[in-house]
Amino acid sequence: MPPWLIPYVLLLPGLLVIAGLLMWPMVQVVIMSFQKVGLPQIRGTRPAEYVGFENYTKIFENDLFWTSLRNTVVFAAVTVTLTLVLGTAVGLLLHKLGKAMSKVLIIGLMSAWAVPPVSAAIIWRWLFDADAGIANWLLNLLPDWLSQALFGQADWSGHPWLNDTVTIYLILILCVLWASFPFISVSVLAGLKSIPSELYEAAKVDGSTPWRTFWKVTFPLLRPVFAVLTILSIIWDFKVLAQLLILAGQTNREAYNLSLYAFTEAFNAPPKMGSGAAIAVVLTLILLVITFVHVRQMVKQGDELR
Amino acid sequence: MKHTTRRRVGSIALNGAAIVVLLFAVFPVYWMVATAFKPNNEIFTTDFILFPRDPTLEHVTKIFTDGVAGNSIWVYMGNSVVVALGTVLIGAVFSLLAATAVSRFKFKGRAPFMIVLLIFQMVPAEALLISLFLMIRGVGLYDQLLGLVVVNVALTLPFGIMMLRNFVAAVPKELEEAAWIDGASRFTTFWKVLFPLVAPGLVATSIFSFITAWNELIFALILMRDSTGYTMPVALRFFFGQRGTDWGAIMASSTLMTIPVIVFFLLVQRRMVSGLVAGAVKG
Amino acid sequence: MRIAKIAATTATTAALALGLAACGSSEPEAKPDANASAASSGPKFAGQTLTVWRLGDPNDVVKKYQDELDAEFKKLTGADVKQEWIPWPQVNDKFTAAAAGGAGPDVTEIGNDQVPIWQSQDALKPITDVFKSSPDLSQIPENLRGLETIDGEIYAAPWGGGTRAVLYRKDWFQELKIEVPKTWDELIAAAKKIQEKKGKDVDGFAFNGGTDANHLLGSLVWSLGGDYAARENGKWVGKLNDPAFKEGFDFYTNLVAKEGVSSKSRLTQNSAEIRVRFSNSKVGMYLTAPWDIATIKEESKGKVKEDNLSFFSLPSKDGSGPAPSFLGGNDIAVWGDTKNAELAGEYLKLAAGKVWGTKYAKEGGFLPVYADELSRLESDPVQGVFASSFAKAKAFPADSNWTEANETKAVLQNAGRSVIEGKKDAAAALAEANKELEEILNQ
Repeated sequence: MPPWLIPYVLLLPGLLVIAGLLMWPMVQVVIMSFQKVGLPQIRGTRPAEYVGFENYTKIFENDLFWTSLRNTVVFAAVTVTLTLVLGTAVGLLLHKLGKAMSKVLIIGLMSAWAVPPVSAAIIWRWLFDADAGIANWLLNLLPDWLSQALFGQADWSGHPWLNDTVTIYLILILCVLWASFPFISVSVLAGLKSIPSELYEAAKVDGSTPWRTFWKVTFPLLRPVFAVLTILSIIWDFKVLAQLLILAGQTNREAYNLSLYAFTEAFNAPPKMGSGAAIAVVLTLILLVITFVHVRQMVKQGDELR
Repeated sequence: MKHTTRRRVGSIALNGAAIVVLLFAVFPVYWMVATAFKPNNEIFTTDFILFPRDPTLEHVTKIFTDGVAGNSIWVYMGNSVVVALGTVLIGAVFSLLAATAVSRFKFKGRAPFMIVLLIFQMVPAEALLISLFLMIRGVGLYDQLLGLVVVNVALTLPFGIMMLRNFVAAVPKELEEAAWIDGASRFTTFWKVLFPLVAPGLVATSIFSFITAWNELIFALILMRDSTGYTMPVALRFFFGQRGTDWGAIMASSTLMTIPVIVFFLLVQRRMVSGLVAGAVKG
Repeated sequence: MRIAKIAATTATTAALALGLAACGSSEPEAKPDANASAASSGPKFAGQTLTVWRLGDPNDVVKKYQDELDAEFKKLTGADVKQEWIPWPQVNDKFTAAAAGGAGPDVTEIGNDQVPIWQSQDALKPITDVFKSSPDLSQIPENLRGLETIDGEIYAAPWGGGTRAVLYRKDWFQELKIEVPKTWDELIAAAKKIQEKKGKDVDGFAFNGGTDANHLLGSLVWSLGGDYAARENGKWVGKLNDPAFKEGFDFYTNLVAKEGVSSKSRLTQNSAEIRVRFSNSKVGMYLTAPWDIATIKEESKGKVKEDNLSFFSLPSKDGSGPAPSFLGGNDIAVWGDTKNAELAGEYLKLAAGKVWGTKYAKEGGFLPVYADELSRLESDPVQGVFASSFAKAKAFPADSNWTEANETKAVLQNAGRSVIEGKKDAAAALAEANKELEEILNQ
C-alpha cells in the first residue's frame, strides 16, 4: 500500500458513516430551509415550493426568535463557564485524592452522569417544587435575618421557581451543570493521567505553587483537551432541549431557547419543516461564528503536525 | 513537623471538598432511588419527605412483573444493551482509526475534514431526524437494531475523533519509531505502544458514546417499528399516559437504567489506569 | 401498577355506574345489520394482516378489549390484526415520521383534535363511504363529528368522547354548608369560603394555565356567547376583542389576580398538576375529566375518599344552566398510505360500531358517541354531569392550525399570565393575542 493512501484507508469507515448519515441529511436540511415544506412535500406527493429567504426573514421578524436567542446565549455562557471550572477542579481533585476516596467520588460522578436527561429534569423539578421541594425547605432553614439580607425574603414556603423565565433557567443551569461536569472531570483526569509525572516532579523541585504548576505545566499540556471540551460544551449547551421542555412546560414560550423553538416549529403541529430547518441552520451558523477562533486554528494546524 | 501538619490540613481540605462534590453529585440520584421506593401518596405530597416513611416495592415489581407495552422490561433492556455496546465497539474502532489518520499523517483534506466534524456537532440532531429516517429506510436498515447502532455511531463519531486526536497526538512519536526499529510491525506498534497510551482517552470517549446511545430516544422510537424493538428510553415514555404520569415507575426504571452505565464504567475504567503503565508512576 | 389500576378502576366505576342500563339493553343486543357487510365479506380477507396503532401503554382492560376486538374481526373477515403500541408523548414524532416516509399503520387511534392536522398532511384517508355504508356509524350525531368532517369528507370515526366538569370535595361542601354553585358569584363565594376555613395555601377553585387551559377558558367564554374565532369569507377572524370573550377572560384571570381563589405561584399548572394538589387536600374545586376520581383515590392512598368526591357542571354566569363544555375524545382513522383500505374500512365499521364503540368508551372511561347510549348515562351519579354537557359540547376552531395557537404558541395562556403578573392590561393583552391568533389560523 502506498504510504499516501494509508490515512485515507484509516479514515474510510468513519467517513462513510459521516457522509451518509450526517452530510447528506444536512444538505437536505439546508435545502429545506429555503422551501415551504410539510410532510407531503417530503414524501413527494406534493411539490415543495421554493420561497427563497422567506423562512429566514420570517424568523428574524419574530420576537420569539430574539428572546430564544437571548435565552440560549446567556444560558450557554453561564453553564459552560460553570461546567468547565467545576469539572476541571473536580478532575484535579480526583487526581490528588487517595485511591479509595477517588474511586468513591468517581462512581458518584458516574451515577449523576448516567441518569437519563429526562429523569434528571424531573428530579430537579421536584427538588425545586414550591411545596414539597428541598430547595425551599433548605432556604427556610437559614436564619431569617440572613435570608432577608441575602434574598430580601425570609419565608420560602410555597415560593414558586417555575413561573418565571429567570428562575426556570436557574434550575436548568443547575440541572445541566450537574449532569455534564462529571464528563469534564473524567476527561481532565484522563488527560492528567497521560502527563508524565516527571514534569510535576520538576515543578516541585523548582518550588512551584500548585496554582502556578497548573497554569505552567498542566494547562499547556492539556490545552488541546480543554479546547475540545470547551467547544463541545458550548455546542451542547446551545442545544439543550429535553430538560428545558420538562422544566418550563410546553406553554411557556418566553422560556424557549433556539433548539426548542426549532423543534416546535418543525414537529409541533402543523409541521413547518422549512422554518424549523432555517432555525437549525441559523443556530449552526451562530455556533460557527462563536467557535471561529478554534476553527481558524484547525485550518492553521492543517499545515503542521504536532 | 510544620510540613506534615500542612500536608494533613491539605488532605483534610481535599477530602472535605470531595465529600461536598459527592453530595452534590449523588443527592439527586438518591432522590431518584428514594422516589422509586416511595408509595404514591409520598410522591404526590405537599411536604418534603427525605426518607420514604413507608417504603414500598410496588413500582419495582410493577416494571418487572407487568412489563411495558406488552413486553417484559428485559426486552427493552436487551435492545438497549445491544445498541449501546454496538455503538461503543464500532465507534471506538472507527474513531481510533480516524484519529490516528488525522494526528499521525499529513494528507490533503485533513483540515476540511476536521472542520466538517465540528460543524456536524453543531447541527441539532432533531433537525436531521426525518432525512436520517428516510436514509435508513432507503438502505434497508429500518426496524433493525443495526440501523440504530449505525445512527448512534454517526452521532457520536465526530466527538470521538476530535477527542481521541488529542490523545494520539500526545503520544511521543519517538515511542512508535523506537518500536519500529525494534522490528515490530505497524499493527504491533499500534496495539502494544499506541493503544495503551491512548486508553484513558478511549475510555472517556467510550463512556460518552455508551451514555449517548443508552439515553437516545427519538431515533430509537422512529427507526424501530414497534415495541419489541424499542429501547429503554422509549419504554420509559410509556409511563407518561394520556391521563396521568406514573412517576414511581419512571423513577424505578430510571434507576434501573443507570445501573448498567455504572457497570460499564467499572468494566472499562481499568483501562484508564493501564495508561499509567507505559509512562510513569503517579506522583 | 398504578396506571393499570387507574384505568381498571375507572372502567369499573364507569361500568358499575352504568350498571343496569348497560347490562339490560345494549350489549347483548348486537345489531345484526351492523356487522352484515363485514360478515358477508368474511372469507375474502383470509390470510391478510392489518396493522393497528393504539396509543399508550396497554393495561389489562385495554389489552383485553383490543384482543377481543381483533379476535372478533378475525372471525368476521379472516384477517389477522397486528397491534402496535405507541407512548402518548411520542405520538407526534411517530406520526411525523410515518407521514414523511411511509412505515405507517393501516388503522390508527387518534385524538379527535389531531384529525385536522394529520388530514392537512395527507396522512388520513377519507372514509365518507365507510360511514355511509355502515348503519351504525351513520347514527353518530353530526355535532360530534365536527372535527372529523373537513370540506365535506369524513376522516375519522369518533370512538369515545371526553368532556370536563368541576370536581369538588363533597365533604368540605357539607362541612362548610356550601351549596353547589349555580352562578359565577356563587362559585367565587364557595371558593373563598373554602380558603377561609381550610387555609390560605388551599386553592378554592384552581386556575389552569397549562396545556389544557383552554378547557376552562373556553367554557367560560362560550357560556357568555363568545368564541375564539369565526370563519368569515374563507378566513378566520379573531373574536378575542369581543366583549363576551373579554368578560370570560377577565373572570379567568381574576381567579388569581382579583379574587385570589387560586395561588399565584402556579400559573402554568395543567389539570394533571392540579390533581396532585387536590389529592393532597390543597384544592377545593377544579375543572377536569371523570377519570381523575380513580387516580385521586390511588394517589392520596385513601386520604381523599371516593364518596367525598363529586362533580358539578361549570355554571354559566347568571345561572342559566351549565356552561358548554369542550368536545374531546379519541377517534379511529384509516392511515393514508394503507395498501388495504377496504379491509381497514371494515375494521373501522366493527371497532367504532355501536357494540364495540360503546364498549371502547365504557371500558376506557370515555363517553359513548351514540345518542341513545349517551342519554342512558344522564341519570348516572358520576357520568350524568358529563353526559349532559357532552350533548351540547363545543369544539375549538376546526382548523389544523388551532393546535399551534393552543399548545405550541400557547397564545391565551401567555396572555392570561401577562395580565395576572400585571405586565399588561386585559384589553391590550387580548388585542395582541387576537392578532397573533388570526395570523396563526390564517397562515
